[in-house]
Amino acid sequence: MPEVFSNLALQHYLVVGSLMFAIGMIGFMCRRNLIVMFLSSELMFQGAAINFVAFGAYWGKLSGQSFVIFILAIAAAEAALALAIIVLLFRQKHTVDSQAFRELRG
Amino acid sequence: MANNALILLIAFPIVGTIVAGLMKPGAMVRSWTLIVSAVTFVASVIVACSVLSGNTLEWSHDRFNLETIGFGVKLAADGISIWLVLLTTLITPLVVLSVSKDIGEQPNGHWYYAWILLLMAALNGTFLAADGLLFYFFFELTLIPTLLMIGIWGGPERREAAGKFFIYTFAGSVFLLISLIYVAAQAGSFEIAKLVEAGQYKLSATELCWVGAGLLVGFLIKTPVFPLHTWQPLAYAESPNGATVLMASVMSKLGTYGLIRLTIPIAFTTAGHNQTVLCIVAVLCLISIVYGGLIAWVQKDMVRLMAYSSLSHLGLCVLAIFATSTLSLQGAVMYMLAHGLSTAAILLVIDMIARRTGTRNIDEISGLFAKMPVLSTLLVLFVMASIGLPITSGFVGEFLSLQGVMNHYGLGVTVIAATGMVLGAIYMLHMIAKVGFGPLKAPEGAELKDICGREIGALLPLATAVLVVGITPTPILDSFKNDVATIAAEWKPKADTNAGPKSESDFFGQ
Amino acid sequence: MQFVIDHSYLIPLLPLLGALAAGLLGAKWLKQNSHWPIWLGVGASAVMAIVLLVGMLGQHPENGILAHPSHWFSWIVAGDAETGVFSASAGAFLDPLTAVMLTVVCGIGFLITVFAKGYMHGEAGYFRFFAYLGLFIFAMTMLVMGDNLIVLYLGWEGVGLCSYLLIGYYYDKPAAREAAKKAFIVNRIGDLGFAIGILLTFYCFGTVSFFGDMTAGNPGFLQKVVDGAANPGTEHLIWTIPFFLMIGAFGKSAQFPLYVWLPDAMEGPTPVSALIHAATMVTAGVYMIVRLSALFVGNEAAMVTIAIVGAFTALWAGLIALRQTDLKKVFAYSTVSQLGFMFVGVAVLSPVAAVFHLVTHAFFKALLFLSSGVVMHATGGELDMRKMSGMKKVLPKTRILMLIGCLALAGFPLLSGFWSKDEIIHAASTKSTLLDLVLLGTAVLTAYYTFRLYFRVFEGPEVVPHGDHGHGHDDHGHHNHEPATMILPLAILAIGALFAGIINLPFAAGVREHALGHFLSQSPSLVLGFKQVTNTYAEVTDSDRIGFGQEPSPEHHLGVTGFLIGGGAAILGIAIAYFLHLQNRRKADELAGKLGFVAHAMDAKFWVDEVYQAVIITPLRFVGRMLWGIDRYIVDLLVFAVGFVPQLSGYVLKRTTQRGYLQGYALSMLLGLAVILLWMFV
Repeated sequence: MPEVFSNLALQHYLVVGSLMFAIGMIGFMCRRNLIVMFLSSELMFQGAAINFVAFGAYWGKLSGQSFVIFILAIAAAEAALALAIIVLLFRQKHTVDSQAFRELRG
Repeated sequence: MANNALILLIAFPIVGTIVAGLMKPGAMVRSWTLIVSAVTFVASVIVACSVLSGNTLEWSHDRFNLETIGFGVKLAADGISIWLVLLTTLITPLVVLSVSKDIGEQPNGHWYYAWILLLMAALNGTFLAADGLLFYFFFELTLIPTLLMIGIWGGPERREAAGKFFIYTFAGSVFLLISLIYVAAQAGSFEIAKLVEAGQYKLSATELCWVGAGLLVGFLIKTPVFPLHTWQPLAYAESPNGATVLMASVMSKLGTYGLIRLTIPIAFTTAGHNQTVLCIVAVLCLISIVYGGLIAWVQKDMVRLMAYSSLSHLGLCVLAIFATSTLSLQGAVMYMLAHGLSTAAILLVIDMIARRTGTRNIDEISGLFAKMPVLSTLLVLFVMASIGLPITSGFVGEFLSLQGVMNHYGLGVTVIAATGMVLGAIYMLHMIAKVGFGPLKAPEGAELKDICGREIGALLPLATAVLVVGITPTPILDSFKNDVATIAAEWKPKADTNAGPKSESDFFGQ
Repeated sequence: MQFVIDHSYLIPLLPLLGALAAGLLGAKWLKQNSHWPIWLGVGASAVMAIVLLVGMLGQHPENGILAHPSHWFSWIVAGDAETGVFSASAGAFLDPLTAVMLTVVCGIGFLITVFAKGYMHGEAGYFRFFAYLGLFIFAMTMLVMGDNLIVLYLGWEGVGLCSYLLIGYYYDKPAAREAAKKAFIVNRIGDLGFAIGILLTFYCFGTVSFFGDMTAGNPGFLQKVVDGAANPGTEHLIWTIPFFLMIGAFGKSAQFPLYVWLPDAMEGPTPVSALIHAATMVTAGVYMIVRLSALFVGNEAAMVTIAIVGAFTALWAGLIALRQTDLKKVFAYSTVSQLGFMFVGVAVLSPVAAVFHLVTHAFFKALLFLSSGVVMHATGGELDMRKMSGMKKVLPKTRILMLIGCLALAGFPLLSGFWSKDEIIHAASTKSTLLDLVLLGTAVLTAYYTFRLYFRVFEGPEVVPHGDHGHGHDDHGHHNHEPATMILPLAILAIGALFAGIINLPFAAGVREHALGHFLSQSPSLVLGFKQVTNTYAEVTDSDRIGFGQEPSPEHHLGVTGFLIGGGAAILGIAIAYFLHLQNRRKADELAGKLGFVAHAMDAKFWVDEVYQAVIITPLRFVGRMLWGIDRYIVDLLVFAVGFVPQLSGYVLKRTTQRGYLQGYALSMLLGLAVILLWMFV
């Protein structure tokens, strides 16, 4: 393992995870394109995943890493579903603007 | 043996419901329902014999108990409840017998019978429950089959009627539930006897006031009493006849029964003897009597007429209940029975007329006596029972109720309450005069045949009951005398009122 | 006699069984033989009643009280010691008053059922008619036999029901329908008063039994009234009881202002008019007050009210009767008027005179109604006296019978009506001169309108109408208009109308003087009533003594003047009628023309029905409609308003938070998260 990595403390990982989460969140709030919003949510997801890994390494236990495997699998499945839904939505209205889809607002 | 029969009164109809639901529409399911309800009737007669010979029957099963909240499945039958159970089990088979065939042969017709049986089970359960929560459970369970019957087989405005009926009565029940839970929390158990005990000894006057109000609202909506009655005319008019009969004759008694069983013993004991609430109830009852009577007079639809007539009659019943003395409570219970019998009978007759003529509008039919002598004779008998002619059941209940009211409230209130007698005669005879007398008139396509054997079979037991109760009321009155005396004894006006037997004289002024 | 007392329940039961037999078997099996069960049932009851009466006449108990209570079964028992036990036994109280009433009810009832066979022959509802008649006799006997107010009320309501059914007998006729409804409802208004009176009686005295258990020291409320033994705290209400009961009596006995149903009740078949609306049912109010005289006599205000109402009704109905042209309507108003006399009788402390007039009136009024029935039968349902004249050739026997009836009603000297009416007038004259004059004036009117009818219908040039068989008969050959089953009962009634006065003559003639009074004075009702009179009034006059059947003081002399004036009034009325309606009929019309408005008012029956319609019915119905509107649009709206609160809050939340913007949801999630975190860590 290169020196530069071993010098990194837990907080560095956490900062990166938090940044990713925050960027994702801001992206989710500010962008109305469904695909971008989806990407933002994936970003938040991965930010959380980094936290898992970091803590797993910090405590020297593998549960964090193994959890991330699951997260990745689920994220993949989710991406497939979400993108399929977005495609279907696009077919309906020829747009991927989130504000165009409000029929289920109650 | 008889103790176990109590659960059978609920179990029979529930099994019947399930089987009926699995059957196909047609004559079979009707016979099945008839058999089940008749067997339940026989079972209730057996139970009644045991109760009337002086036993208090109880049934409970530990397996269903929920110790944490003090809930237990307990059934009990005493002199009051058994008569109402008998009323239920007598009227249900007659309703089934008179249900028109066309409903039973619709694609989902078998469910109609299933719901009637479920309603029967729920009604029996409510009257027999010795546990507050169980009472509430069955009390609410009656709503479901009724709602379905109105919603599926009702008239043109059935959706509105069903919705209004359900939401209105359900909203009332919420107050009931809250009050029950509050009292149960103090009592540590939902058992009615414990609730009553808590109401007498553990709750403060302020608490009792609120609890009492909650228990009142739920039951007064069910009865109903002005101004909580507006669901009723619509629901009666839009329901299929079977549901209307059961609603008007038995379900309305859930309210008055609840008042006698829960509201008065729990909340209107010595500690909770709240003049203001009592005065409000009395005034509402008096308004109901006059208001219902006058509105019934201008109704065109016979079923709506009966709905407002119930408002008027049960106003007196509730007034008598709140005059809580042995005499008035005996009168009130008797009045509940009598009203159940005569209302069921008149509604069945109205349905028979409506089925023949296709209308219930009194302006569109007249002179039916010429074509249907048997039906008309029975109608006159039932109407006389309804307006309280002596030697019919109506008289005993009405007169004793009025006597109770007189002894408690004094002359002024009684005079207003007794106007129901005249108003009753006016709107009922108005209906008979329009429908029965005069030159023959009926809409096109009416088949004016007199009633057939099956329909006579449905009415004759009611006619017999009306007369038997009217001629020999004493054994019946005696059978629940001790039960109502216990309730009346717990309820005493505050000691500082005047020595006379009345307590409200200063308020109602004479 | 002992058999009748032991089996007194048979008296109401037999007619009831007859009614059931006729009602259940009549339609299919008995058909035109449906009168048999009723004849047998009512006939047996009549025999029992007469046996009872005769047996009682022979009894003279030591203590002066002649009564045979008999308990059948406990009908209603409710309540406990705290509220008082409400106990109403089904049972008979056989005393002279009941015996007299029973004889009238069953005896005349039987004659009328005999008459009805011929009269109703061929009707489609033949069995129904007889079933109702049997039911009526049942209810009426219960009414007069009951030993407590509840049984009295049972009979009271029962006769009301039968009256309703019988008035509405021709149910396809709208007029009959309206008349039946009106009769029941007006009666029901009276019954309301009666019922409240009963409720008050129980409230004040703790019992509804008239005489209680006479042996067991358990007094009835009449005894308690005399002893002043009311429940503590209720004394202030006792004086109202007679007023409420009075309303019941006015309703049933057709007194002002509740008399309006009786003239309309003539829509029923004529035997019904004779039996129910002349001879028996309508006298129930008089019976009730006599029965409860202990309660009434001590209350001077109530007695004055009854006297005023009775006298006013007598005059008022007499005036209306003057211009009626329908035979039965004339007699109907005449009945109202005569009932007014009876009420004056009880009000001037002379219940014996009232009962006396009740009995004689039952005879001659039944006779008159049935005779008009024969006329109606012969003319095919025509009853308008303007369309007929000189019927004596067609109906010779009826004419004689009618003449006897008219003379008796008019109070022609020596006939039954003369004696009974005169006794009331005499008793009234001792109390108030005005009352006396009103009654005398009414007596003149009575004689006048009675003979106006007689002269118009039976005398003069012969005009025989042939109507359209308006009372529903098939034409079954009216060759003999006066069959024996119709004339025979009439003849018996005519004998009664002629000689019934003998039962209570003011002087001894074959029987002792005031025989009826002496007999009735043994009734506990009159005994207690007289005791209450002596309690209440400082001075008890001879008139009061005679009025209660007591022996008058030795210095009492029979005044002849009264009889001369009474007889003179009758003859005057007959003479006027003779001149105006036989000698010179045109003169009568001219006279009516001159009277103008007055005659018009009488024709219109003083617009009482119209006033009722305008003042009570229409406004009440309007109120009903208004309330219905309020119910639908205001009360329901309030309920809707309550339901509107959650609906509105839901709407507001939906509009503010559930807008469908994904970012909005995300933001609120975020804020929520922030709040929770702040809550947890700060």
